[in-house]
Amino acid sequence: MLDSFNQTPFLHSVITIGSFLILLIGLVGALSKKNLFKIFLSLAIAESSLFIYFIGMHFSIGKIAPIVTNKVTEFSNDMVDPIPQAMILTTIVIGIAVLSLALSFIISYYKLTGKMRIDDMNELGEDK
Amino acid sequence: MFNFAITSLGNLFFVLSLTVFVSLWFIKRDNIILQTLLLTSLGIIFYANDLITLFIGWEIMSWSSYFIISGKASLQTSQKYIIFNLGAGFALLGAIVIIYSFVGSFLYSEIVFNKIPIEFRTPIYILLLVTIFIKSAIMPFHYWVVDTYEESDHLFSVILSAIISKAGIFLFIVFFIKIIGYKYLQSNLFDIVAWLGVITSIVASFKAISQDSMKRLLAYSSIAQVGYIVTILAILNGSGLEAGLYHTIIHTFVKLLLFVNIASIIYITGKTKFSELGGLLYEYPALFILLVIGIIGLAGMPPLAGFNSKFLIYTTLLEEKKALLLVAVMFSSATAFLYCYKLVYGIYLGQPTHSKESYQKLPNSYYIAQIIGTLILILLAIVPSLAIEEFNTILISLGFKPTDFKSLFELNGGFASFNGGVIMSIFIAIFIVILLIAYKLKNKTRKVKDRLDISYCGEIPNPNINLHYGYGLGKELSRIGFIRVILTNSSKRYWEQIRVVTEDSSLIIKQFYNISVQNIGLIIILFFTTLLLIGVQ
Amino acid sequence: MSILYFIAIPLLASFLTLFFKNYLRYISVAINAILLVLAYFIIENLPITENLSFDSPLAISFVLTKGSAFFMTLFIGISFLFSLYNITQNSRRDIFILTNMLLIGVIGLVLSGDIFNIYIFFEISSITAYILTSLNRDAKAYNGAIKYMIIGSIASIFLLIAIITIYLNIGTLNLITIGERFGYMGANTQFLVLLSLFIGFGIKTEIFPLNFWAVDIYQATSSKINTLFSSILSKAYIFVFFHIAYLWNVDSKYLLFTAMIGVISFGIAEVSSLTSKDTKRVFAYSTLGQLGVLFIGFSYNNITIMTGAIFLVFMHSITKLMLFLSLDILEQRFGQSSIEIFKQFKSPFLIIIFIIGFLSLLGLPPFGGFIAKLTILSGLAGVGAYIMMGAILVISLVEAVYLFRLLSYTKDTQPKVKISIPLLQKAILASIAFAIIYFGIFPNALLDISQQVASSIIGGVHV
Repeated sequence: MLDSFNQTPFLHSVITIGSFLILLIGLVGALSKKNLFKIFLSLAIAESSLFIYFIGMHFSIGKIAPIVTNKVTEFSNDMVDPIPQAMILTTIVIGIAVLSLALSFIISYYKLTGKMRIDDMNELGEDK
Repeated sequence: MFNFAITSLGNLFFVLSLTVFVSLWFIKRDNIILQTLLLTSLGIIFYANDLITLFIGWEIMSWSSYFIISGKASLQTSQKYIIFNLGAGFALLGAIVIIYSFVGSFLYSEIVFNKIPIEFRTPIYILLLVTIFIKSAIMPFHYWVVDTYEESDHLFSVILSAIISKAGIFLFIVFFIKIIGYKYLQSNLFDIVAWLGVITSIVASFKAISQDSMKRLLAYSSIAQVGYIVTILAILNGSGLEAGLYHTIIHTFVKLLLFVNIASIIYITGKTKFSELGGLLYEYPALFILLVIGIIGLAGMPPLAGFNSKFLIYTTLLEEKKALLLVAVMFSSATAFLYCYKLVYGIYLGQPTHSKESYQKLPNSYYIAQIIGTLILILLAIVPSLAIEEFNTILISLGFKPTDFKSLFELNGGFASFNGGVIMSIFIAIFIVILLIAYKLKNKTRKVKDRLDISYCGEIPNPNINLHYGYGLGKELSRIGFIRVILTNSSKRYWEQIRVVTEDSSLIIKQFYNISVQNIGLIIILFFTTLLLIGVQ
Repeated sequence: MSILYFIAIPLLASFLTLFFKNYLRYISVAINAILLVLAYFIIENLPITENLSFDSPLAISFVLTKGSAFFMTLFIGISFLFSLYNITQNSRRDIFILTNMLLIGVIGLVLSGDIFNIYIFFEISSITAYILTSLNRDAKAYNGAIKYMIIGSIASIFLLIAIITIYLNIGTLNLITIGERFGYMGANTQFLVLLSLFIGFGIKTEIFPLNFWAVDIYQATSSKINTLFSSILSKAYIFVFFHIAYLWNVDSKYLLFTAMIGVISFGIAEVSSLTSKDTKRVFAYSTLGQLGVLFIGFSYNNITIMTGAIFLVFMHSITKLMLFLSLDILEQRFGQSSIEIFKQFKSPFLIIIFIIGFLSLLGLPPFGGFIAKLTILSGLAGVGAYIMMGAILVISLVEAVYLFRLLSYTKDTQPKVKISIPLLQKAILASIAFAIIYFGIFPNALLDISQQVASSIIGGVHV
């Protein structure tokens, strides 16, 4: 029975459903949490769901990593597509940069006003 | 991008505008840059050969006059002025763009109107009529006029009344006569236009009578007079065009005369209301005589030139067998007598209600404009067909038959004519005779020294009682049923409702931009999911 | 002479600013001037495609077409004027590095030829925009920056969804190859891709249901930064979005949808602006409205309308540059930005600048905005979109209400504060005003250029 779990379509469906759930968790967290840190954390979670989906959907059972070693001496069709992996690496780095920028903004804002919750942030708006 | 052509029609309107501007520049030269810009834009409009040039001139006229007006007028009045005039401009732009999309060119000469399919013609006419109505203050689009005339600079009101109100008339002639041509226009739409014009003049005449401020009375009078021009142009033939052009000239100079006269009074006394004025005849007889000449021209009575244009209007309406319109125009002219009378009585006659110490001396330059107006009125009274000669070139250029006249002294109205020289000479003769008789009998008269030497319902009045019924003239009119209906209803409610609705909806819609970030994110996600569910089959 | 110089030179300059801390303002002007000269020389050989490493469809490519060249030159020009303006101000030093990076991000967006590169430069410009929002270092600025980051991250997520779906189904990242194979995807997948792209770019181009964040951000930063957002950033995203749309030959229903969204966006922005009490918000609403008109202009597959839209891009960018810089002068003098400051300043020069700017925004002759509006409206009437044309005219009337109200405030008779402006800033503002009047009276050269740009965008395949 466990062999049926080792099939590519099943793997893809698990990854699809799983990443969709994580995306949902991330988005729901971003839109309903009130603490600023938690909002950005949720957004990071939502982004990572996309990474999982992308990499996971390019993987099929039986493929190996696209690295030439002593045993695997040439590129062949057994290898996973390397482009998504490069793309996602870049995107992860961008995500880290954005997240750290956000954290520094939150810390500076807290030092200026002492507020950490998003519904306390009231300096902008039509009536100011 | 600009395309100009010197036409006789353009020459006529531009010479009129230039005369008014120059006679005002003798008096005072302020806002010189803006006024020059305004005059240039009028030149662009009148000499344009191309729809885009016309529109450019039109819009420059709108915003340059706005800046002159907003210097003195209140915020609401300036807003009303610019919104209505920009509305007129945008309607004109809509019409121009639709015409261009079918005809492919902006040049007047290349616009062949039968390339436009039938179902688009009436919307184009309606857009152009909206522009013309707003600019010529046909009701209910007149809402911006009265406050603007009252609150702007006294000498700028002259320009507003004498020239800018004629821009709509020029647009009518250029579009409906020159570009489109009478043969494409259905008479049903223009019957309604004619009636709107005459109803405007009736209502405006009644409203003019009950005004207390001098400038508001003249503002309503301007609306009424331009209403006549729109009506007679909507008759859509050559004699209608001629009558309209004649009335344009007469009205320009009459309003030049009247508004500068009013401006002189305001300059001298500092007061603008009839209730504060009266009896100025003795100190300023020259101004009184000039105003009387203006009144005679305004009311359209012989011997002065005002009668010429009224004569042409009546004969045209009779020729076209539009009896009801004729009756309505005559009714409006008769009503005009009342406010003419109020104008002269309220300022110059009657009980003096002012103190003379704070009077300023009037500079002589104020007389120049008034004398120009007077001279034109007298000149055209004696040789009325002098103007017809000019109009014949315009009529020929627009494709109509020129009017023939036997001599310059005679005005030919189709099936009737009169000789201006003869009328003026008879008038002057009778005038001199009566003047001599009065002079002879002067010594046999008893001068009434004291105004209060009268009996007033059995009581002797004291100086505190206001015996000047000149300023209250018109109050009793509200007792007549249909006049009360006219006077108490105004379009103000409807326009103000539009403004209030827009502002309230703005306050509600603005809240979209005031919501918290998480709600914004929620809206974005919901928008995405909704469209996804709709689009995915 | 490679087009990569446009990205490499400012990037190198940004790194070298560590060594020239006191001369930053002059370096900034110099870099922009060098880029302008380079752009002038490279324009003769269009179109140019640069491939890094291999040939397409596997390589990273940068493409310079007439459309990209126009936008790139526009952005460099605006950045040049902005850095020239900043010479005499005592701004923070960071502004020079950040405008440089913003320019890199925007040029990269416009030049890149494959979709992942677009994402990279999208993120670069977004991050720079976040930091620019917080430049004032006060509570309002950080507030704005945090909110901008939340919304911007949502935009990146949607753009990433689009890229992921494209690569999973098509297998390449190159824009032209995607365009060739786009029609072979399933209809649902196409719809998902287009929708995610619309949401992702739409958030940054500030279009109707996605722009509720924009007005707060304009209020949070100082007016100088708003210049960059309004004149450079949003135009870049609009260009990339529509360039991709025409390159991939999308369904005409999609373009109809964007036109509808554009006109709704215009209407709602102008109506909301009527009762706003803060000048930065008023100008922000005006920007949102004009971006709606640009959406309408770009959404029709018609040369005349697109020419008008390109003309409007140019006119609106320089008009908003002038207006926001003038507003910055007022804001620095008064310390606040409510509309009452229009009643309190006395400076005939600034009043004339505001008059020219507002009349050009409304599209009144003889200013450049009129030519843009006339071309768009003639094009709309030509294709038969009469209701759209009428809607634009009516909503412009609403726009006139609040713009003329601001102008009447300047004639108010309160006691006034005299404002003196340094000569360099007066010269820059006056030259932009002169350009607006010049292109209003002699528009033919610019109309010609706009037509070439328009045909290159509509043409799709790289011309």
